Amino acid sequence: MNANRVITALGTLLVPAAMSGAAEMRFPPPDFYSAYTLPDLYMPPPPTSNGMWDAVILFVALSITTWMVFQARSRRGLFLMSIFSVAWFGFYRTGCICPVGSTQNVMAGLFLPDVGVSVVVLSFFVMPLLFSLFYGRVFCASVCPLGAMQELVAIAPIRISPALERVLSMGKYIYLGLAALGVATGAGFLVCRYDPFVGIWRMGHSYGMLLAGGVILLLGVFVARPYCRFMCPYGVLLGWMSRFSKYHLDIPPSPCVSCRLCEDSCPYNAIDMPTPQHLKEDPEVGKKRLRGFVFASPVIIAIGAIVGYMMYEPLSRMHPTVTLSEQIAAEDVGLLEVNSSLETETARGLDRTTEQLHSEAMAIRENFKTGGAWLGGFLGLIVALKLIGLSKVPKLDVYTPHKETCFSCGRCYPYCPVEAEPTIA
Amino acid sequence: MSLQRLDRQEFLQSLTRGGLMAGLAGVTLAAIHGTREVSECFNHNYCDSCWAFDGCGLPEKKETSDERLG
Repeated sequence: MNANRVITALGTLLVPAAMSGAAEMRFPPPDFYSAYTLPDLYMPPPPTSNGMWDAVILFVALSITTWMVFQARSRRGLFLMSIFSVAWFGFYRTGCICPVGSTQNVMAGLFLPDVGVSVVVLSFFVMPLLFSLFYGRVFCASVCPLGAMQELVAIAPIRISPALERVLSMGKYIYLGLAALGVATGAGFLVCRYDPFVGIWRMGHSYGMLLAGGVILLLGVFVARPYCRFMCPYGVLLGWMSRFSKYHLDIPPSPCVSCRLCEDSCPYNAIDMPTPQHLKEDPEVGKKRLRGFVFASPVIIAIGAIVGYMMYEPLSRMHPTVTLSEQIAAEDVGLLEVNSSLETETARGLDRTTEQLHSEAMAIRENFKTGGAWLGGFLGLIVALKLIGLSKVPKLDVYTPHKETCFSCGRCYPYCPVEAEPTIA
Repeated sequence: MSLQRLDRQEFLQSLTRGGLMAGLAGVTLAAIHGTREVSECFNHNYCDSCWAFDGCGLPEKKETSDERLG
């Protein structure tokens, strides 16, 4: 019943927004052939003068969330914090600066020698990672506006199979790799450009992105946090940090009584079950497979690198110069009308000749050969590590949150009947 | 889980944590170095502060560029 209400409410909110976007695309302003030119539309950026204050607010929000996760152990508190984050970091600050996007700024600072990153942006990148390194993914719990937004709409979450979860979660590694490739080759900040929520924060975007945001939110009602689990590139880094965190949320605040009530409480498949006394498989078989995967790892990485290298041509189309060059070439051979788009029309009007543009595009394509190989190698490494991880059986006595994938959202708290003094353990 | 095994795990985790912290510090130092500051976001439509500005052929960016160059 509640889920139906939420879907109706979301539909009422998002469909008119998408329709207005579509209407804007379908009905361009009339041209009366006058000398008057329409002024350019600029969206005013959010005030940047108080960037340091944003960093302070982020720190306070992270600290409060950590307290909620460890000391108060309050799911309600975390829920309220999510509302604050959506309101402040989302709608008021229009999703910028956001730690997810700051990953690319930092990549630009690393890959491009003359580029520097401001202290504010760096603090947005580093703070959630440091908190993850000590307390787990408290940033994802309720501080990240993207995660908080999805957490608020996850009304009737279903659990998908762990196997499907593993396959789909490769999406975030691919996205992280593509984002790095985009920055290193100068193609742009893909994560910001294709942020599905930015249109909602700013009450306007392209029709496609508004639709993507709406679809992800609707999907999020049933498949909780789809963006965080399967797409978020920053989530990869947070997960790596959280895996080695000093402290982490525990399901029972004191010794687990193995009542199994929490077993189905996590829609993110982030609770590891206790190791069964009698394993289905002979441990020797598992060890043999593990050895096989370890030895096969370099081959998997090499195959990934080769495939990535071979993919340089489609990958290079991420870059606007390459796309422009291809469009102009297609126009020149008659595959497209001359001046088929605003970009080609403008490019033809510039001082730069089309030959210069094509040679520039060729140079960029060459960069994508190297970048593609790195991307493929990285993805090969991830696949190899996942396969190795599958062959390991962790020895667990009680139900334990999986440190890398647990969002510390506290959904499991109400399911645990163990009452005790809350402690950091 | 035996105490010895737990200690070894703790030690390795602490070691990795230290390594990750050092890595973060390194990334921070490497990223802060540089003179050209990157715009905070790509979606502001504020072409003037866009780090990909020089390579862009969109008309509004060209206008801004011409204006800037005088």
